[in-house]
Amino acid sequence: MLDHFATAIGLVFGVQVLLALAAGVLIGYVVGAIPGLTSSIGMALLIPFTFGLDPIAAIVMLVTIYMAADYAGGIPAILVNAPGQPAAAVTAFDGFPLTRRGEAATALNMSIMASAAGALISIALLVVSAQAMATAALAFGAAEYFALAVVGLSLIAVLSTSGTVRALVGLVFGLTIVTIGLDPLSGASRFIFDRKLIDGIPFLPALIGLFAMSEVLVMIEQGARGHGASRPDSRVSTSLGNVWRYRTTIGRSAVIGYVIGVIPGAGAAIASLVSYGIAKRLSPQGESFGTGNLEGVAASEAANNAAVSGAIAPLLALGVPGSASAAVLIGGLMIQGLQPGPLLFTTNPEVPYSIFVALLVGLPIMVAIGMFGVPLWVRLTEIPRPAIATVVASVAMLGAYSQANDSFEVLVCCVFGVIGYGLRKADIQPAPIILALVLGDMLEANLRRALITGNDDVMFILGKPIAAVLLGLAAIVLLSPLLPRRLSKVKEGRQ
Amino acid sequence: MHDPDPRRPAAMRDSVSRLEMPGYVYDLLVCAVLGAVGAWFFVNALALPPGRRMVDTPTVPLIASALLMLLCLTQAAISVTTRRALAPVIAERPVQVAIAAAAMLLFPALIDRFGYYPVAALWLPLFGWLAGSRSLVGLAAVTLVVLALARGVFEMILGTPLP
Repeated sequence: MLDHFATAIGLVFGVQVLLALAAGVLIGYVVGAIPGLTSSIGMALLIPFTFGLDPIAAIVMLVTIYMAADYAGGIPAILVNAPGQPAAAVTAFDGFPLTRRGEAATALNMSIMASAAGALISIALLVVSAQAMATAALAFGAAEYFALAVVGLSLIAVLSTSGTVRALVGLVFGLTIVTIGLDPLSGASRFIFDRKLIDGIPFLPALIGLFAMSEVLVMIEQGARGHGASRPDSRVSTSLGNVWRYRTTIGRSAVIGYVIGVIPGAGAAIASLVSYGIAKRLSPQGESFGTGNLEGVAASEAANNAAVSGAIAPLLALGVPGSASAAVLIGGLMIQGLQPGPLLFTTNPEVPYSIFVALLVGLPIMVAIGMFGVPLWVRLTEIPRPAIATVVASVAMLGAYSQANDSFEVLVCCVFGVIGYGLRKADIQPAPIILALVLGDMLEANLRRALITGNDDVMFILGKPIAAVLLGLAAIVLLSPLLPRRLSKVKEGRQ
Repeated sequence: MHDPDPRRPAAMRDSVSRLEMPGYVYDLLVCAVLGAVGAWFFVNALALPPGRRMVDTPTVPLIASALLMLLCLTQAAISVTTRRALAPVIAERPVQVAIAAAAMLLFPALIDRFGYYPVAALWLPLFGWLAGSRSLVGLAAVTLVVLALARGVFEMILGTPLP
């Protein structure tokens, strides 16, 4: 292993590879910060540019785009409540309220530090456990995926900041509209009142609409009224102090992010949600999550970035992508004549080890750009609100358009913007709706597949050990808001 | 909250710039709309082929839409019974917000018909004005920045052909 690392270090520190790495980080920042452009889209668009590069340079560039884009999505989420990546929607829960309080710099610094810490921990886990984790992830079948979706949905009990019924209304609304489109198993048409809905509600435009466009309408309400400039509290020592203060949360979130990232199809969004929900439940200041708690930002960002390495684990070990971006990476490897899978470690060991080294070397570059960029990005919040509203609306619509080069996606984005604004006035937040849009398809499709496999026997699902454990966890999460009240009542009774 | 335009008579300033509604009334409105959505899905789900399995094509939509209607009813009841404790729902600059929302919803159809750049060149200053900007230089600057972003980043670098 050490030999391979030494070879990889020699390769990565070549001029072409270093330039590709730096370019990858910069491009990743731009792609990630634009709502609607995901890391997978950015990587896919840039694959043709990698044809003429050395294989290691090409792979390193794609990997660093992936890593930087997943971090950079948190920047617009924090500054203007417009997540650049789906997983960054969770960062917005606390990041944007912090900006409103004039603490944008603090939030951005925590975001970059937690991302870096999460990435570092997950890279270490990747190096030592890629093969084992990937093999375990393959044990996930329909029952296990269904149970994972239930765990995700059970977080509604923890995530809701308004009343539980309002949160459930949002969740079930999301679960209802996610059934639009072709039935995932039978292919039957369901509620397709426009042929463009054949694939269902396009997720990213809906996400951008619920967050960014609804926020634009809120900004229009406020008009040209000034807002507080961010306090100049962006010292590195303060940031490091915050990281140390929340080290347990960051460490736990990194492990959660890595483990969930390994599961093919689970993704960084689910990793962020689960990590945030657990952090909220375990934190002594859990009640303040959603109102600008730095720990919430840390939990989300650490998990989000840890999921990047997690998604690469099954790719390298088994040739199975852990995420859409990892799938694009497979394309990049194959174009270079490399076959991902277990043999990659024996036939071309310099490739996986170069990926490990590139992630480690790219990390400080990403942090440096992030830290030096914070004062600049915070200045953006001092731009007059009407200008911000106009630019955010335009970029959000451009991002939505770029999904399929179709104005229908723009319409979806705008419709969900109006819906999001109206629901926010009734204290129904976007978070439960997003939860449902992310997990709804996974829930239904895997439940039905599991029941087909088990001949409609529900015990088939409960008989699967991993599924049973996950469902038990979901039950605990759902009941957990009641537990402290029950415990205190028991204590009172004894006294 | 006061209308920023001092030329408007004082009585008009406040009434135009703010819309206030009792919280429970707005909740009832939202619950009615979402309940209607649930009902639409429920009725249409009943028309789906039933299938032979325990959970088949119509099952999840039926359950979800029924739950949606039930939860809307529950929330409506809660809102009515706790109406004294509910804060009023306030929408400031409602006219501007309504026009902006309409402008957003019309934008996709307009760019399909007339192309992105001609529409954006008019839509952006209008939207900026609705957002509260009263500086011609500011409106022009934002318009140019967005058009440059669309052309430079989306079309040239990312290869996204705009209409």
